Amino acid sequence: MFRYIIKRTLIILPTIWIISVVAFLLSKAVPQDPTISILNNRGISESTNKEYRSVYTELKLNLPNFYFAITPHYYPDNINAISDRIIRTEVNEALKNKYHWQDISQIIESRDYKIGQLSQILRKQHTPVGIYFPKWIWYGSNNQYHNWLFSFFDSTSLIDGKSSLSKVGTALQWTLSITLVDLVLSIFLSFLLGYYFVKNENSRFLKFLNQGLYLFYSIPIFWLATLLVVYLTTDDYGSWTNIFPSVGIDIYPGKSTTYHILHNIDKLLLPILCLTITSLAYSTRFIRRSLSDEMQKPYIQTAYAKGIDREIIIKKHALRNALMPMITIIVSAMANAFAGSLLLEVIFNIPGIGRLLFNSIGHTDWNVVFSIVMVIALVTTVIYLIGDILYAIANPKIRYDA
Amino acid sequence: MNCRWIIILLAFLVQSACNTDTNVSKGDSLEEINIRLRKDPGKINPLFALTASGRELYQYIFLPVADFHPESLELFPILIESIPEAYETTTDDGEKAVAYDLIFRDAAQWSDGQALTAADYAFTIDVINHPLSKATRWKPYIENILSIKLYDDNPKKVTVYLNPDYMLSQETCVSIYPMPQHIYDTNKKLDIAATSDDTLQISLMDNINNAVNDRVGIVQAGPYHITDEASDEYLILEKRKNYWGDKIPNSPSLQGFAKKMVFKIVPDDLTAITMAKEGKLDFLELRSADDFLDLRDNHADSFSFHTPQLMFTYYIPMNNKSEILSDKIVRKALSHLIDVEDIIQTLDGGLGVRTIGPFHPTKSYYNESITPISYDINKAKELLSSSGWQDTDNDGILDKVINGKRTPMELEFLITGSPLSKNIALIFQQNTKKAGVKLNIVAKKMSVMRKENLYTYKYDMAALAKASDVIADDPYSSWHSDNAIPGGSNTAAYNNPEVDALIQKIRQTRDPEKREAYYLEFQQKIYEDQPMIFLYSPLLKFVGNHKLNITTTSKRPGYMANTFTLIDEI
Repeated sequence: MFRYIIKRTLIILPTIWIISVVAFLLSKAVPQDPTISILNNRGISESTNKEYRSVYTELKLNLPNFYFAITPHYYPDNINAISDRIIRTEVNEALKNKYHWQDISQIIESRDYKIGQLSQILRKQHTPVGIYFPKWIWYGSNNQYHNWLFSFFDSTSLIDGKSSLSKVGTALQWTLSITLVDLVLSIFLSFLLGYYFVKNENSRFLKFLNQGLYLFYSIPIFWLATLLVVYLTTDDYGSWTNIFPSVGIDIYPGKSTTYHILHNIDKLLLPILCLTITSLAYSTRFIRRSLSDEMQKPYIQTAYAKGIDREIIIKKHALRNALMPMITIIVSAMANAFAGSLLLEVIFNIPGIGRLLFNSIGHTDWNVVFSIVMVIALVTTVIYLIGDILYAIANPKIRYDA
Repeated sequence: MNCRWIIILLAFLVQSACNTDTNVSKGDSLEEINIRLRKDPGKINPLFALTASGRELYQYIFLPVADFHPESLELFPILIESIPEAYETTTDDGEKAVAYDLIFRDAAQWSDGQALTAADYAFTIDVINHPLSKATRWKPYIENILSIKLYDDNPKKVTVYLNPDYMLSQETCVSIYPMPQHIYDTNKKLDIAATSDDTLQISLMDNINNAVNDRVGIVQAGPYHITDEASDEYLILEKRKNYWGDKIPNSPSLQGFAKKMVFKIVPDDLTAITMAKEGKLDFLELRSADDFLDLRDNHADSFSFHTPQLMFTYYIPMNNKSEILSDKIVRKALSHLIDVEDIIQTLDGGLGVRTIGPFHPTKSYYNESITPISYDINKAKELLSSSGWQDTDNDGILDKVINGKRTPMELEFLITGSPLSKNIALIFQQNTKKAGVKLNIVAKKMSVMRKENLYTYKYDMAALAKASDVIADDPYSSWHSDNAIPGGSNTAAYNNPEVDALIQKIRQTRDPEKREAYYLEFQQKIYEDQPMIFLYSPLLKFVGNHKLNITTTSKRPGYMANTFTLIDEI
């Protein structure tokens, strides 16, 4: 077991690395131009070439993307080095049409070249490459990914210059204050309900309750949240409906995030309620089915035959064995808890991780996006490792080979 | 499991959550105003980041030398005694120039008590000009500043020499937001002629460039300063004690009636409305006309409602390079297919003003003599027919032989996906169908649309919006044929040599009255060519606490919260 844990822990590092590479490469595939986004953030909606090149270089976008590249032989070694946006667009277009980089660069460097004319000149003077073969280029550590990876802990938000990790940390506190409470509450209540469903299988009340749970499960969470806000936080529909505090966090100047959370607990109850209601049906059903399956097994029949009370059979025998599938739910729910719920955070005005991630993607604030992705990736892999350990504890028959 | 304890626990939790709100709106006394922001403003230093969202805050912290008055929209002095008059002269190098003498107010001082002097102004110009500066937004403007002269015997005076042919010379020299030299360059070592490997300059400029991220503790000249903030949550501005500007009467930028302004970040409109109803917000802007009108109709006693005209216009550019839309008659026909008045009424609750051209209706040179193009499907059909478009194959879509190829009148209409652009597109699609034009609507994020379509001219039409400012318009970037190139800012690829010549005249005329004649002619020519379909300028929709005396303005962001007072105080 110990060896297994060590092995799994060591695998976390390459897993995180692969996730970072995938996230980074995906960000490069996004059609948004980060330079334009940053210029917009600085209030420059129609930038000159000089302004564009200045920010492009500042963001180190002129470096190659990764440590190496495999490109067709007629491609330039590093197309990112072309800092002029318009020329780079034209060059990309020409390369798509299979014109050789040597021909392209000759035209660009010539005095006669005018922007917008590259394709025309190429068509007149050169022919596209016929057969092409791949070439491998090694860039070393002077690339965008390497710079990003090794400045991860120092990275700052491109929007407001604050440390990315501290922004993520603050947002995570708000998100976890809701999602973890929801997790505990919904697991606890679903165990309770699952137990009562199995204990009183024929209860009419529980059948109605079951249908009610399905109803809430089928309601989209954002709609439920909106209804709760509209009907239960204002007296537009009568003062008796104004049960919960209005949305919006109370501000305590100079105080920490933890202080804010603790003194806004009442504001968080409605979003927690919303989350719990929607997740309860699924968890309850899962536990109920798991328990019901256990109750069908021969050892339970033996217990009945011995004259043991049904309640004791459920509590002392079936429940424990039904825990195994529950570990799966708990582990994945814990991992999801870190990702937050964007819609809920927007509707209840909670500055959580979902909202932060959405805003950061929208503003191409990749530093913060990567920080969020890496934090969630790390936490998720650790949680799944903990899940594996819990499996072994819950069922001693499970042994992991080294 | 003992259910009793669970029920008691749940009851306790619910009871503690039960609404114990008292009316905590500090708007009851002007100790505090709670204002909604749609998103975190990000960087709020106008020298490095001149954004609309940043302006909602920095206008109370940073002051320009002069600005446009929120009511009259004319230049009025802030840090200087009076608006300078231009005079023709030459620089020390013998270059012809137009000069302005700026005399800074004796009382003007930084928040740390140091006097604000002409040297700070000169320092700021150097910061912008420095090769390592990230104040890229300002560089194109101050390129027209030829030189600056300081006076040893009068530290409050500076003479600014500008290019005599530049139309915005006065606005340029007074729109600068000075930075305190004694904070950022104590030893006066900044050197704009330094090479890029000079370590002292690198260190100095790093410090200055990083000022863009400062929020709390900024040394500036405005009436407010940020005392606390949390990213994506709130920012708190408090009025400076013993503020020097309190002694200057009738200067809106120097006023500050509320002791504290709390800007709360609330992205969702419904949430903001709910907070306002509960007294947690005293001032907010709404996007949806429906929400605004609903509040106005049902909560008139709780709120005040304000609709200043926003310096913003909606328009539909047409790619003048495309084989179909290069024909002026086709463009005019399409303009007849959109009922702008109906769109304003239906989609924006009547809260908009129709526009006929590229300039905002509040501008003094807006050509009111131009009659807006009417919504007339028959007229559109006539024009298309006169241009050779017929439905030869009876499929309901017009077609024409262009360059030897039968081309159907099928156009792609790009939208950003916002509800307004989507609705405009749908209405337009219905109307164009009646005239035999097929419109395909494609939604794309704005930044993607720019990169893939607008910059490369691979589009037919798009629903866009343009922000303008109080300052006189320079039509060069959007209308001159120089910019009808890939990546250029002439979105419609408009090319008219006569208009190019007019634009040059506009840019070289400093006298506003002389320039006005050129502006009017320019608008007439654009109207004749219809390179774009001009829609309307929306009205802003502000909702305020009814206890506040709120004034709004066309100058962005549309309000100045430092001028709000309690109604009882008038």
